[in-house]
Amino acid sequence: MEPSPPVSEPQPTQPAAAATSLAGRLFNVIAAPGELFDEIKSAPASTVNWLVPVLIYIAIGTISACVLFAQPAIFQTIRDQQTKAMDKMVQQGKITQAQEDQALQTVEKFMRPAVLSVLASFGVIIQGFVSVFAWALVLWLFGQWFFKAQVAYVKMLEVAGLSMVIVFLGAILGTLLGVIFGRLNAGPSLALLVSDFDLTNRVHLLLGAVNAMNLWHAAVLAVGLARLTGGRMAKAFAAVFGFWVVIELLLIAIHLGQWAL
Amino acid sequence: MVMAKPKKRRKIVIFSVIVLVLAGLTLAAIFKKREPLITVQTEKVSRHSLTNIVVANGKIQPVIQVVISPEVSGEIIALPVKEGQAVKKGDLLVKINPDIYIAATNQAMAGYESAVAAKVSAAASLEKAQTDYDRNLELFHRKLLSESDFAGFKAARDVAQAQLESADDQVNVAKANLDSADEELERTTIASPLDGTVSKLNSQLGERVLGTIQNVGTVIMIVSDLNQMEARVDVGEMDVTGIKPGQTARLEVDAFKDRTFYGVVTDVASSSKDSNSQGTSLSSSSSVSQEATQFQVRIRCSDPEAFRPGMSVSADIETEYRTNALTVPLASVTTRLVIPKLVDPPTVKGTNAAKATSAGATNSANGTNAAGVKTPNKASDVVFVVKGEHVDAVPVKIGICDDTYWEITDGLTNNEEIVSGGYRAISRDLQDGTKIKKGPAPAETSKP
Repeated sequence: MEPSPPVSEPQPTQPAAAATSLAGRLFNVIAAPGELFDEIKSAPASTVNWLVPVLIYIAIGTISACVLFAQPAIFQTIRDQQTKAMDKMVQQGKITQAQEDQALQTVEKFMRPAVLSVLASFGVIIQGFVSVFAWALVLWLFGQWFFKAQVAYVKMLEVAGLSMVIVFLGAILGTLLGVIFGRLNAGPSLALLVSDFDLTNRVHLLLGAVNAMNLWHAAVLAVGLARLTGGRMAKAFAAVFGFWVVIELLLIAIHLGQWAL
Repeated sequence: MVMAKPKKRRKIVIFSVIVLVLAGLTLAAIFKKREPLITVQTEKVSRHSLTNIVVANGKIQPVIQVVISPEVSGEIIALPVKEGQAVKKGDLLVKINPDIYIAATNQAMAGYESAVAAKVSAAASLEKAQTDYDRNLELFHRKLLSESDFAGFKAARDVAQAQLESADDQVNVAKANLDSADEELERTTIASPLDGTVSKLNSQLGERVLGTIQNVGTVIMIVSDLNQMEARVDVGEMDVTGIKPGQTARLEVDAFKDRTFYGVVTDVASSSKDSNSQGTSLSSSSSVSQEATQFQVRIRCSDPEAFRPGMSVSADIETEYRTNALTVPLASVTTRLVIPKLVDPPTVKGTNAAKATSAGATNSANGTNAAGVKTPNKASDVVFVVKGEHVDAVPVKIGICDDTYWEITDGLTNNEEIVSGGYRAISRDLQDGTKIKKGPAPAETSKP
């Protein structure tokens, strides 16, 4: 009788990892994004993962707008920029001096800090949702084309949504720096080196686009792309950062540079 | 489990760093609020000579100008002058058809002669009546004539006397008519009243003209002395009080664009042009009252030139002069509600100056002076003086101005740095103690 083949002892089964709470997930975007996105990959789809960060971003963005436009120095800077732009149009012959005076009077009459805050808040709401859906689409397309991975769009939506934590952290930072330096667009970027930041100056806009929080955000998105598709991290970074650079340059080139900041 | 602890520690560290950074920035934001920073341009208070100028527009007109209108009506039968022709005093200008006036003269002469003849006849009648009276008086005294008969002779004499007096009056009337007819006949010939030039000729040979005796009269021509010309300009009521005869003026005539002429003010109207027209046009008083009140000023031109009546002229009348006066650019002076500071703040640098400035501003805002007495704020001319990174609103007293500078009679010293632009900053944005930064004017920033 031949000896029976050895029977391998059954391996002890690993206990299932407990699902991280929402607060934990939001914090892990900062502390351990790789782990977070691994969990996201295996977990069922959840609307909360992208909706809550967007709502938090909208709330913070609205408060930020109210705080910034309530600063006299910032409000004066906005008026100076408007006056400067109008003076340029007068010099180019596009409008007359009388038209400029009338336009500035109308602007002063209606453009109060409260009005600007409300308008900015609407902008934040639109930007929040557009940004998360747009980035989710970009990541999903990269996953399909570059990584040949079948990842659901809603998963990329969760990645884009959770990465908004970096964005609203950047908004808080930008608000505090704006109050300290007395100007808008005072995020943690090279634009802090410019004393007289000009939104119409493309060099200034390029410096402003090199924002630490923007780079961090792109890095987190790249991590999410790599983890969900199972692809190489370097490839994911190259795709996301390449896209980010192209978009920034395009927005600056077509005079929408303030959206690139 | 062992692996979980370093991860947990890392998360705590990251969380702590984020919280510390945000806390630090929040504290910095709370304690370092930025004041509004207004970009301005600056200049130094300097000394210049100033000439206060009143600008007025008007027309060139001759000093002496005579309107020739006939006193009698009729057809022009002689017009030996042309427009622009020089004439001497006494030269024939116009002759009106005298036929009707000759006939009137002849008629008057006939009437006169008839009156004279009537007077002679009356004198003869009186002589006869007197003779009869004298003869019959003697008879009456001798009682050879009845009283009634005598009365008849007496009456006849009285009647003859009265008729003679009447005839004498008729002679006077006829003489006056004759003189009047002669006068009108003479008026059919118009001679030039002065040496001059026919500056305007309205009528033509053969035209019928109306006399001025009972009508407005036809203006046949205007004779002017073009050797003496003056500019008649209109000055507003705000400026006319500073204009006096003897002041010099610089004249620019549109027809002589590349030349500048000079003149002297000779007359300033005592009443406005509106008040002169109100007497003739009461129905349009509402529209007249809406127009600007203008006073006519006459400026004698000192340069002989081929001016023609009616040429447009712009006059710069020099009303006041200041030599080496303390001046600031026109744009530097604006109006603010301030209280003159009773005590000069100590000249210190840094935050103390800002505090002193803000204290003054607080006093201004509260309407109290240094003694705490409530005084009303009033609008005052101010200039913003640069004090480091801030400006002080300094009340000033202004004098005259030209088209560039204001004279400052009180409030500033020479070489003080003041804000001279931009317009919006000075007129509205700047207040006492506002923080500023110096920058180029808006036109310069837009240059590539």
